Amino acid sequence: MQVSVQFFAQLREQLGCQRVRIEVTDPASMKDVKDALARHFPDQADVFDSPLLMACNQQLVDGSHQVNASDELALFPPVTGG
Amino acid sequence: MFASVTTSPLNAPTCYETFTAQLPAGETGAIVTFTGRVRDFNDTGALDGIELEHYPGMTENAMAKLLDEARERFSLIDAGVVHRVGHIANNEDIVWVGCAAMRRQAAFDAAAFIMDTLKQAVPLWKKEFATNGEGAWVKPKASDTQAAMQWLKSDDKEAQSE
Repeated sequence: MQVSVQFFAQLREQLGCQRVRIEVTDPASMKDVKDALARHFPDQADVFDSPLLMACNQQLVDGSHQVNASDELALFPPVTGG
Repeated sequence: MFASVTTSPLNAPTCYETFTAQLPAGETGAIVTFTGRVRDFNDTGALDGIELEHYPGMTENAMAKLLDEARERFSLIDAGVVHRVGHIANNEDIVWVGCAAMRRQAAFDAAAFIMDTLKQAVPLWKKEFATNGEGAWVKPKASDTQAAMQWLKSDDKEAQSE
């Protein structure tokens, strides 16, 4: 299945794009999506080893969370608001 | 209750007036507010403003969830938060938090809880600009993580005592 993933802050800058659509094998977890992204961006694969937060449908989730093609997925660095 | 983001300059007195205008009459005994502001320096030298990026939709939802948790945990009468995003100049306000409770300790604690947790769980990212125009993303501070962890630890204590 195809999933769409958004990026924010320095991760968006490092990857040079705000959003990407990639193919993952169904069923897939957020960790599977992250691994697929590392393969999709081979020159920046190391950024996916850094601490990143993951969101599915605007809720923070961990790597075991199962995703669907229609989900709104996002990856971003630890937050620094306030 | 309000949880919003804005690209316009924050006006703390207006936030306070909006917040207090919707409080029920009579029962409020304490109102604590917090305003976060852009400093003109950091550990590496002078700064010339910041840029605040956020995740539209999730930011507002995460802040609203945080206010709900604070209301429940500290028996608040009401709570509000406004976070500015986009470019923010030195000495301008970044965030405003208001907490109303029957007694002052709950209002003080709730304001601290909201700020400590906001810095860990709400998708906002700060980029600081040096006076030469060079920008650098702010890294999370260990002290911020520890502050948020203190609230989680007290959650554990409450759970164990139940």
